[in-house]
Amino acid sequence: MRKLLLMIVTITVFGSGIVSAHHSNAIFDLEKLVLLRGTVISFTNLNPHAWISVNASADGGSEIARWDVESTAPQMLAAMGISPQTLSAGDSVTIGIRPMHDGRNGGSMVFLITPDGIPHGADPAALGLDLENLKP
Amino acid sequence: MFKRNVQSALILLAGSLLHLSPTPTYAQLGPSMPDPELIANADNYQPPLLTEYAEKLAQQPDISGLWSSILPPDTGFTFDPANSEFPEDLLPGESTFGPLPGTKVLSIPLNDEYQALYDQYIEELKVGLVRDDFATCVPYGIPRAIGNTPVPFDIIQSPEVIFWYNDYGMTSRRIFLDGREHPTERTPTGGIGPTYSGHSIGQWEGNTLVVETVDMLGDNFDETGTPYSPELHMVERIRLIDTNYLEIEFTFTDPIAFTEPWVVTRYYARTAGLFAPMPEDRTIPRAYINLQDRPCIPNAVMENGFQRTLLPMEIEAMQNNR
Repeated sequence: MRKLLLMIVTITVFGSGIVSAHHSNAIFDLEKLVLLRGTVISFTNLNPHAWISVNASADGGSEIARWDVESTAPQMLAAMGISPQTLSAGDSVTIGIRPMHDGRNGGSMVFLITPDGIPHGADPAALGLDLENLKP
Repeated sequence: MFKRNVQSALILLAGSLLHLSPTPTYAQLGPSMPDPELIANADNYQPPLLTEYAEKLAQQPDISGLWSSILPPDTGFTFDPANSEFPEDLLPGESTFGPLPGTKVLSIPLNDEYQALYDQYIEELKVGLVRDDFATCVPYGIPRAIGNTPVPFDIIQSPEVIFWYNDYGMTSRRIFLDGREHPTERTPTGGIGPTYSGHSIGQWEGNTLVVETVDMLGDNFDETGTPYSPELHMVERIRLIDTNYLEIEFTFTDPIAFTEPWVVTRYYARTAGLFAPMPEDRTIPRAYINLQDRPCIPNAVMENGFQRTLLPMEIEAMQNNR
């Protein structure tokens, strides 16, 4: 699967909009999963990394804070069924992320569950999670 | 009011004094202005056509256009993906971009000292310590902008110079085909490097463009940190193997970092604009990159030699403080 994704990235990563630089994904801890539940602040669908900003609680905690969630390039998001119209400010979402090594409120998207309850990205079941309990 | 009038008078006086003073030296550095008669008669001038240029160009294989690097199956972004080790897969559908931590180029013939450095970089990446400064908008440089770029590059041909642009990698190069040698000394206008592009000279040997590059300023081949020294020397053998496939065989030597030459062969597919068509499509028009989304905007800072990615909330806070 990684092969397929990388092939897609290789040929389609550039596009319109403001490009901020590409940084290493080594900043994320790929061993960990954090579950964010909250509402969308903004969805910045730009190359090379799109960002979803949310006001959310982490792993069921009571504190609501801003989290910036990085996802992949817009064309790859499109392949996951995520378009610029998919998310609007105020939408309720659940997002699984690989958190940053340094503990800041950021992470790399593993899956996104949109207000309609549909999962995008990785299958939550592959992580032992029940979709019914994840719906926003 | 009186004060303002005095000010204006002083400005006028200063202006006239400037007119009387000797011509500043910078005006003498460049070429002199064309004769007013030439300018007056410009409408009647018939410029020469590029006839000779076109005839010379017609002798070159057509490698011009936009090219995307191709990754072999089950590989990722390294300079030599066919001979690299990749860590376990992420979950299908999980976001990723670039090599995962633990990715390692196996083929590079580093000596013990540089191998130890490379091993250290790989261990650092596993715990989130990133030395790569590309996210701060430092250019990829040559060779990384050719062998390890996730976006296409442009090649534009002329009889005596080939222009090569990787805008995403902020790297451009000129390959001189006019028979010049590499510079041997520093001159006021340039001369010996190093520069991010290095210095490239080339010639067509039949259908193969052979390019030799020295004086490259970068220090890694790809995002895994594969190191080289300022003594790196690169020979590229570039040829079309089909209308839509370009082959580049790289041979690197490095007397400081390598134990023997490193040969890497990479393939590139002709690309037409935003979405790359299938290479099997024989109708691909020549295309050049859309520059709408340039230049690079940094989203990281380097702290103590390591990358610190800036989250959107941090960039917003910085912008609000400006």
